[in-house]
Amino acid sequence: MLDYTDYTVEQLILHEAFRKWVLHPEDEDVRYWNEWLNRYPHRRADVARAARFVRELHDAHEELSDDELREEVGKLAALRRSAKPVRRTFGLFRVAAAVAVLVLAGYAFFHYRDVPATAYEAQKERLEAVSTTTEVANSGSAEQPVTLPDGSVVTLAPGSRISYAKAFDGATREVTLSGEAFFQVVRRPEQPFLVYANDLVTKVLGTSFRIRAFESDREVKVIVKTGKVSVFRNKTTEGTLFLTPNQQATFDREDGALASTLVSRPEPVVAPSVHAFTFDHTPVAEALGTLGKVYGVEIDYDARALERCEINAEMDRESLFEKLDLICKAIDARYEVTGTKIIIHAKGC
Amino acid sequence: MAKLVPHDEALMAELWVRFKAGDEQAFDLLTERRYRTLFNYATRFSKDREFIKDCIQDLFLELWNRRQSIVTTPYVTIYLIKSLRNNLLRKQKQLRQWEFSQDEWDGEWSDGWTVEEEWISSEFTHESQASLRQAIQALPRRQQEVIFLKFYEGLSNEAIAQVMEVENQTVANFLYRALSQLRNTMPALVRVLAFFLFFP
Repeated sequence: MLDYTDYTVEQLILHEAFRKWVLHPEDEDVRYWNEWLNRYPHRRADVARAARFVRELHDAHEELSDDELREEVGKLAALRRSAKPVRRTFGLFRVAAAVAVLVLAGYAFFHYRDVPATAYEAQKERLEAVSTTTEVANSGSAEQPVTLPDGSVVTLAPGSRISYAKAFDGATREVTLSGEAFFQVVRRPEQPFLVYANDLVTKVLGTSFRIRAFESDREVKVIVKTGKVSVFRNKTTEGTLFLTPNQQATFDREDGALASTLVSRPEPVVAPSVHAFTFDHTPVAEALGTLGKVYGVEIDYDARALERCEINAEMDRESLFEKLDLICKAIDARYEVTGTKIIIHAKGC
Repeated sequence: MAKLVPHDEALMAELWVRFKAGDEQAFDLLTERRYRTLFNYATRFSKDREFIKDCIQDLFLELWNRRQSIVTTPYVTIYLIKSLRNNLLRKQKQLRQWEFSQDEWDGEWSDGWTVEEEWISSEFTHESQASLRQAIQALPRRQQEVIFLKFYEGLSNEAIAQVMEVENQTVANFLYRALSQLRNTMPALVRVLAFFLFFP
């Protein structure tokens, strides 16, 4: 038997065999450590502290509910059974592009192959009428990079297609998409880059963004993380929306409504300085100004009502709305999101 | 002392051999047995649960599709952890390049908002599990990773070094710094608790 008699609590927790006994005990470990403790009963308290430490650290890492585990394992088994695995790409999007343009797919993702590609076909034919086009379809199970005539790169998700002119020699660079893709567009201010996806057109001069547009989806959503993007209906440029970071456009393909709102969870558009959200007797108007700048959103308030309001708070990674909640709670105010604006209703301090 | 083998690692090795031969049940069981560990590990890299699920799904499906050509590894858990780590880092790198590559950005998305940052205020006395969770999350990412591998999975410094592709000494340094930090922020952590809890 090894002699751990002079081991400190710290030495115990760093000892592999000790952790194994606490974390993944087998019969022999239990036998061993019981015997050891019987031999050195004066070490029980330290061993208890060390074990507590290890167990606490272990438990603090538990992030998955049993339900979620069952669900994900079930999904994996189902995907394994289907001969061609389909990649999920929802999550990837969320952290994705600097400019992310998303056309929401509902949950038709897994059925897209069966749906007639009408909007895509129509737009493709229009393109073919005026130029020689190339079509690339990704029928594999991995993303596929495609280099366009201008050097821009499109990363096509599985089950997606694009078509584009063999030479970008017109006034615009036009691409038609069905499915999902990342675009890294070479900047050419004089020759805008247009993506047609489900009756919605996304126009940029040069940037990178992501579009997701499967034919069977009713709603089309365009979400911008950074940069500037304009979005308009295929039929008319009337009502064109200019989107800045953390704004999203929603287009209803049935009733044709196109409107912009804030995304549900705005992300910082500039990196805040370390103590940007440490407020120490900070005028609330100034705190709101910082928030507006970091998240790139417009925050309206009655300057006179907030004149004498100060805030003391230390925030860091709370979401924009959580921060607003905290500020509003402190000064007994409330806020409302109207379109892409946030409006503070305060009574004064 | 003989190299320690985690609790059901022998079973994992057996499942691995069977699934390589095309045994679907073995694959499903292996997935079920290691999903939780992999998920919890990945939360050290990303807070985006869907992103994590994607990565793990990709990892397992890739293993299934390539089952005939993958290695016959004696140490399945470490192999899985290491593969997932590579996938996570590669995908995050792709996403970051994405952010940096575009021209309006001017590289302003510096590490100001990323993981290598310590937002610890040491005057707090944490008591609950939730506070410990926060204290761990406030550690720089690689320190979090070491803490996870050490105290969740129970790995040795050598195994951790192998997973993270760093020197043993680097692991020891990370561990030392992480534990000092946790000790400062979590004085209640090493409090004595009734000992019998630890005897099954």
